[in-house]
Amino acid sequence: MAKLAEIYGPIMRIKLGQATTIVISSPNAAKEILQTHDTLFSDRTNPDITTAYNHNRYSLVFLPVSPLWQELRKICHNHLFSTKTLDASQDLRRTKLQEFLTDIRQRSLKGEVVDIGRAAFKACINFLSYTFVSRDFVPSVGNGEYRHIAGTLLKATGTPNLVDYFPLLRVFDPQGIRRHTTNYIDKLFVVLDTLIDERMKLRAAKLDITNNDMLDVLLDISEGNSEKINKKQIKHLFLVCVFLYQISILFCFIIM
Amino acid sequence: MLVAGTDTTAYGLERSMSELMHSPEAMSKKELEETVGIGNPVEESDIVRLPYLQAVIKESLRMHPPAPLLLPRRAKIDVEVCGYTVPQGTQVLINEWAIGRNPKIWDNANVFSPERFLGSDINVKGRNFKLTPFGSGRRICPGSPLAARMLQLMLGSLINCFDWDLENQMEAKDMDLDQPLRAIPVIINTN
Repeated sequence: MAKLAEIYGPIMRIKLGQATTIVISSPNAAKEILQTHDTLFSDRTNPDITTAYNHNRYSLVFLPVSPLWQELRKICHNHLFSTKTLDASQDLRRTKLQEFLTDIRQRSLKGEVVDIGRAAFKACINFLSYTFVSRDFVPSVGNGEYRHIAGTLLKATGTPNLVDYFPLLRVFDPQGIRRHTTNYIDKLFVVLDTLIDERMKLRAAKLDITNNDMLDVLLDISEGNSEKINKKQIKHLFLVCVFLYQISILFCFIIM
Repeated sequence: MLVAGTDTTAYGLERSMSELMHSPEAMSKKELEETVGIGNPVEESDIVRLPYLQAVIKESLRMHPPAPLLLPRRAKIDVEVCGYTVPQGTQVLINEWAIGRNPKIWDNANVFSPERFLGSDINVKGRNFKLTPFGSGRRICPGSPLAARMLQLMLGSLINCFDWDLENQMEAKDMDLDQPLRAIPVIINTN
């Protein structure tokens, strides 16, 4: 891609099937898109896979600029990822960091090799699931099933989908990508449903001491005004980035 | 958030570690030892006092952006960009990878050199278009503050609590940077 950019300049046009894509490779042109004309380029293209579970209609990442998108973005900036919320949840991550280091210390005592990518992947899941719900998400799915689910979702999102280039094929879902994805999101949602329901019960019974995690923050907002965010949206918000990384790799892959 | 937040951040951590092991002169523990204390894990409140660690992360994001083409945007109407017309409905990708490796923009673009960010005001908050690994503007990644904390916490602690040897006594110069990093931790003796 970098070589192509050298040959064809900072703005490159690519046509695949019925979709035209422009690839920007200079800071000046990037500034035009991301700053000068930010509002004109604020919508996203929706790869077909994001329509599983209608995720594209709830997702902060894929929603077009709209009142729901604005509300979700505000919640993220002002609450979930604000310095105050992140400072409050530091203890949760400190616990997980200690576990991570203990794990590595044990490997060291045995003289074992660490696959850094795998160790980091596991640590990141634990960090995020603690920051979100104060629980290890991995054991609650059981037996490495989460890795399986995550792996399958990533594989599905990483597979080039003909439908994205030939929209007429959409109804047929020829590679079954949307069907598979729906199946796995199903499993993730069952876990999230259970977690959210449990927390709501504890809160209703006033048994819950505040966890300072993101689920508490979201339920506080939801209880204050359910129009702002409801359970379904909370689940989609947690799912949001399921697609993020692989989608970007997907584009890279197709264009290369 | 669960899956991609994990994969992108894990990728970022692995690439930073690989680059550090490949250029041992870049793996300086001095700042960590002075600020956090030898062998201690990093606290989130330490991060502001660790400019070199922050520079290592920026340098790694420059060379290995976890989302190399960011996420696609779409033109709402026909828009004129640098003399070209981008037609309505067109998908637009930003080639973050090519910008990060462009020798006209970065000196020694293919060399891992965190020093380039020391004393520089370039950050990853989307205000400098030479480096926007999290995107910019209205669609900037809202999770970036958490990702940055996690990266610095984990990377800083891995370096400050352990020395690292490559598998099979491989030497740094023989590393294949496209391969997954496998390394043996050696606990740092604090006594």
